Amino acid sequence: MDLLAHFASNLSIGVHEAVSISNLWYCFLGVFFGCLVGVLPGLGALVAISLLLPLTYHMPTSGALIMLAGVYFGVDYGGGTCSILLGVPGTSGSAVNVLDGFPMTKQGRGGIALFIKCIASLWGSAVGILLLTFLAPALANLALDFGAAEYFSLILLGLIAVSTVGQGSPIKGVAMMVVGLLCGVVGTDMYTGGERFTFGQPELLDGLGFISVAMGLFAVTEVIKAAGGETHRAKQQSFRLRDQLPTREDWKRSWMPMLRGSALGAAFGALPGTSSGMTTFLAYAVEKRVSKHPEQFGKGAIEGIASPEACNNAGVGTAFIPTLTLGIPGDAIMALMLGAMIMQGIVPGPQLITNNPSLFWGLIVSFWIGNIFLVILNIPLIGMWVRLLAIPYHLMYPAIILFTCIGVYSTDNSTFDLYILLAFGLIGYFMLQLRFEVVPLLLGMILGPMLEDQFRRAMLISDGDFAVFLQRPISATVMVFTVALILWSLWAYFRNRAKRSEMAQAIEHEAST
Amino acid sequence: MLRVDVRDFVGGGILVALGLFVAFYAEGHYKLGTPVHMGPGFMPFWLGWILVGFGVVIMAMAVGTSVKVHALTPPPLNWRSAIAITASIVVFQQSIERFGLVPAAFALTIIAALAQREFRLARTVMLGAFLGVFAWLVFTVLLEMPLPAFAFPS
Repeated sequence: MDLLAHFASNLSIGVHEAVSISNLWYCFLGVFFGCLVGVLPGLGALVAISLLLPLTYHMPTSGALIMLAGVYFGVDYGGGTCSILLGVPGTSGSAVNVLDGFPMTKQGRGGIALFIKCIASLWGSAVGILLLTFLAPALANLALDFGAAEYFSLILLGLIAVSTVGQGSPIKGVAMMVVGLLCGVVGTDMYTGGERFTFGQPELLDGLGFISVAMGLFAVTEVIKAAGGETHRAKQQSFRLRDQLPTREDWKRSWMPMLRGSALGAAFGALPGTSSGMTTFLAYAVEKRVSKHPEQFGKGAIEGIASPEACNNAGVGTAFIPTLTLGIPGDAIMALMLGAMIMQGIVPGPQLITNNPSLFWGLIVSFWIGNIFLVILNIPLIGMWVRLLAIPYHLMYPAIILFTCIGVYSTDNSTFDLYILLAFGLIGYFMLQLRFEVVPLLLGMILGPMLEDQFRRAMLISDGDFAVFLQRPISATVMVFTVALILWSLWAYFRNRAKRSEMAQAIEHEAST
Repeated sequence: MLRVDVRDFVGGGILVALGLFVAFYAEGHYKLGTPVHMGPGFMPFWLGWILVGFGVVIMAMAVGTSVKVHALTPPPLNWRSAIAITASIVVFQQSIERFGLVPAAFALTIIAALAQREFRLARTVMLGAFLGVFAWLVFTVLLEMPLPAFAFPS
């Protein structure tokens, strides 16, 4: 009973925080913008969140996080719409919906596909949020005993996981991570107060500025890549509510995939290094394997939408677990959230939940509110998004560049930051040309200072003894995991070099992340 | 027959160069210290050498006798796009403080639009004007940011 009372009081803190006019507004803004960006092909959560980052600078902390989290959820809902209606992936996490969603649209069943996608997304979100609610405080409790060695090992694991589990070579991924760590070094050394690699520029004393770097690497690179390319237009269909309601057969075929998808997504979402692109394909493959009618997949099988959509939304909720309890982001999006938190002066780690209960519980409650907003936006108001898909890209990308520039300039009223933005935009583009991945660099830059801090602390405590990382049991376990992960990813990469995944060939469009 | 994958070779080479630069700069300019009493140069020095190591490995892997198959296909190299976007950002940067938000936004839009193959002047000018006003409404008016719509060079 005591536990229940405790939980109820936490919930009430959360409701109190989330149901304020400003936080409701930020929540709505976030989910709306996220849905918007998700619906437009080629723009993903990373671009959306990095576009909003400069705004969060001037906002209260809980409002900022509520808005960014809303964007994350919204993008997952919106991306499915684009994939289903246009046959072009809206985001990498919804790319797999093209396989069965687009055939359904061609069969005139697009409305039903959208409806099931929405319900599956809602279900997935619910599972993810519930897991976050119950697991996060427990994990945070466990983590209170962690020392510098444990943190170093965990941060290293997170970095290695994200850098190796990508499409490209893990060696290049980790190399990019190291470059990112070096980018994080630029600025003032926290221990001695001296400057590092600032080359006499006073603007660099605070570091390169993660907003400029993030927006450069994601928004600008993306625009350079896509500008001047072809544009896609959706067939203007009308979607009345009646057209969208699925039949009983549809429901019967969807509910188990939703369960399976959300379980898969929730499990993988909490693990660092997994991307929603990867897990949704996995969910699709599982459904196809388990189905009694595998030949229907690719021609409009509703399971092919229900499972992946539940999967990627469940992943959103659980992705917050390591970020909010340990301060270790599992992917680039969480890294951006972490960056936004650090900018606000919030110290990430296990004490976050106990020190900022209104922030944590407010976030949880606003996740629920946000998902309800999204269901309303995506079912009755679906026509709005369909009309949006008619806007050609060449009208949009100047707007993206403009907002990026204004955003970066306005954080510190500094034109120097625009240089950084441009530099990293070009760096990102040429990295893509050289087959390097961009995400590990950003993660290295955000986590670099933390990694170095924990390393120096561990060395101080152990008096320079490197063995400390293997002597303490938790740290040792994590280190063993890290090494195993490195070996496994090398093995998997070399094994797959000759093979091409048949899924990746079904979808040619390359979305970032 | 020896095959060299140019992209990987160049990529690895850049990493080696970068790593060497960082390591030597760190050693030359900052105190390295010991593991217990780390100076500011310790981390960058070692990270620089680690990067050199990776670069060498990547370069070595780029040279071989078998045909290289890659998981990542780079997007086609679009110089026009890169130059146009670069120029648009530079123009914005130079104009925002001298001329204000609306002219800077307008200039950025026109120049960024040059990235397209079919550049239509009338439509782009309209878009530029629209975005200029829209940006002013959203950022200066709605969000109350200190971004003057028009400024006059002093």
